[in-house]
Amino acid sequence: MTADLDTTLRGAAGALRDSVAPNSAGPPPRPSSAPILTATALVVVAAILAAAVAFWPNNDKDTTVPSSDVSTKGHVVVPRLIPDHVPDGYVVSGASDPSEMVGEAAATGPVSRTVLYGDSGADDPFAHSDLQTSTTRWPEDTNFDGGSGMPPEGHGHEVTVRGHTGVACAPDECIGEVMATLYWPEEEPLFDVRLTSRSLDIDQLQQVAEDLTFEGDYAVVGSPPSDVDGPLDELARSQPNDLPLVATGYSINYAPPHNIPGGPTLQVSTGEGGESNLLMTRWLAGEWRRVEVRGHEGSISVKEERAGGGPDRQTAITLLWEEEPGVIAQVTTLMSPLTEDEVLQVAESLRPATDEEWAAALQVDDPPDPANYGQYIPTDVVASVNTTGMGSAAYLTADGQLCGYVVDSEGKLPDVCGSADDRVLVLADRGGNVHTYFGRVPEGTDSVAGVSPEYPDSHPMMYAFLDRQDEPPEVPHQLYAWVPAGGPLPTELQFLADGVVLEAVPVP
Amino acid sequence: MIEADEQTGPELGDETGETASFDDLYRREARRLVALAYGLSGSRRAAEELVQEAFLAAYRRWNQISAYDDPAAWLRRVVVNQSVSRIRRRVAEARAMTRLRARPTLPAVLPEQDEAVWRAVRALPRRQAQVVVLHYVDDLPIAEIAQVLGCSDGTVKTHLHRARQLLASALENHAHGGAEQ
Repeated sequence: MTADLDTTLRGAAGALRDSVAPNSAGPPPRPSSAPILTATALVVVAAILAAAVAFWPNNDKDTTVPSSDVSTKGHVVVPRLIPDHVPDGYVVSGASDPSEMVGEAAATGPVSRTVLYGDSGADDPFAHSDLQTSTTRWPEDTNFDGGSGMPPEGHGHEVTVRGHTGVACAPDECIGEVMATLYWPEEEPLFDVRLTSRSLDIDQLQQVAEDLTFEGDYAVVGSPPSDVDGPLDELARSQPNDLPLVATGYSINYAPPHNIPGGPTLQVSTGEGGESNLLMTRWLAGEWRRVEVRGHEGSISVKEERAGGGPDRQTAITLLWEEEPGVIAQVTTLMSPLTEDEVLQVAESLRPATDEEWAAALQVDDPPDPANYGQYIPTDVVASVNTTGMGSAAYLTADGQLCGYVVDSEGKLPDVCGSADDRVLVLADRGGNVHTYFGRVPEGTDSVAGVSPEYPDSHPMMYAFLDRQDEPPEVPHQLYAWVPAGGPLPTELQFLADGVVLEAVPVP
Repeated sequence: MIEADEQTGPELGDETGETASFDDLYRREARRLVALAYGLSGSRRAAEELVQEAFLAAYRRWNQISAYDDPAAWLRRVVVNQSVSRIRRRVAEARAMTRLRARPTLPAVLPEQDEAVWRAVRALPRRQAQVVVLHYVDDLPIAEIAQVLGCSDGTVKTHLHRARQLLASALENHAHGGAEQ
């Protein structure tokens, strides 16, 4: 039977190979002549796209909604600002400016169009009802992952929307999404669609989705669900290709050294914009208040959030103000322990960057590529786990040594080893900070959770990796590795099967 | 910043000490990678799209990728990881359909008996399916599969063993079902 199966598989493989014509993959791909958009910059673009889309009002609606500062476009000199005060533990992690972004955004970057809804007659138009529809058209030669606007695998739950397979995220169910969000790809026309709301739940978003119409690339609400608490008046639409902080702006980013994906970041951005951006930020922030910053009235939002249901608490702060007529400036933190006072300190210390400073920031490289993190695992191990993308791996040898290591941009750090029965071993980065917890799980474990004073009920780990081998009960040496992404560290790890705690172990 | 020759792309040092270009790598690996992605995704269009995206990603990071001992292993890893997500596959296919509208011909469809084999492979647990295509379609030895997937040789052997067991059962059921019809 085995030989027959082998023959069958080899025959099918041959047919598969033969069916692929020599030129089937087309010509070698080439990016456009625009500069490279690094992985870091992609994150920045995504954040800025979400945070800084310029809006103009629907003319038939409430005139209190500010208009876009179209008249200033192209006539404003946007300064490159950098802070003299950089929080302890943060270093420059990259920068972007129009020389990189304009060509990329126009030629190969995504084009998003959004429509914002709320109660046009209320002082706070988003107090009882709010909705943003967003479509993103991806260029053909994009190097974004397929399903570009979708949350990562393992986040959210699959749904069918308008006949398409999509993903629904309840608040906090998906990384980076604190609002109820519904994503799906439309094929005619071809783009990703996203609905986001604080006041509507997933069921209501699905009702909205089924009744959407498309005006060009704008997704327009038809009849809103009857059980929404307030009206969904169209308040504003973004102007395609008028993304001030992307197309005309500058950003400089800061992060801890050897930061991991999803780790804390601090960003200072400047770009063309005006009062309309404050409206957008107000909606995004949800809760905000006015502050004085650099002699101007600004808006600040301070939120403690956790992403992906993980045990880590992150503070997301957005501070935005009009630096000068037609120029907005913004200081944002994501997944960071920085406080409001520290962010205000950063803002107050801003000054124009010198050419040398900016050039140096632009030269900062990508994070290390994760593809080869597993390459240092010895070949004769009985089990291993590789935290692809997070920079560490662990393995168990035949003679009962359980070891792990960290890889960063400077190379591999020394192995940390314990015994095969160790539940929790700790890997540190070059700075001595906790990078990874790893160990061998009790037999039957299907998930690992962390308990901390902030999250005493425990939460599944955000960046946890089990060497599942697909059938955990049959694998006696199953390993886990968990990379905590900043914030409070757990005091206890729980090993669970079907939600039941098999074993709880204090973290050393 | 990638400095690429317009005709041949950036260059890399290979294990023989000679230099090879991005385009050489593309010519050598693209077809095999499309076959890999096709086996895992079940969509020729999506497979081509995914391979294009993988090479584009490699091109954009060529200074880094070309320094690897085996840049092709990096590409295989990207492709096999990208090929198994249902949603990503759908989006890749949708994009590819748009791109392929200008192409006069589309590749042929697999014979039904071979298609049935790959349907069964795609029904396997994700890691098992990846191991099967890397082993049978790409003819990779166990050690190289382990390198691509970032796991140990033993894990690969376990996956392959279980995959064979499941496939034998699935294909037997399929054969019986076919005979009964």
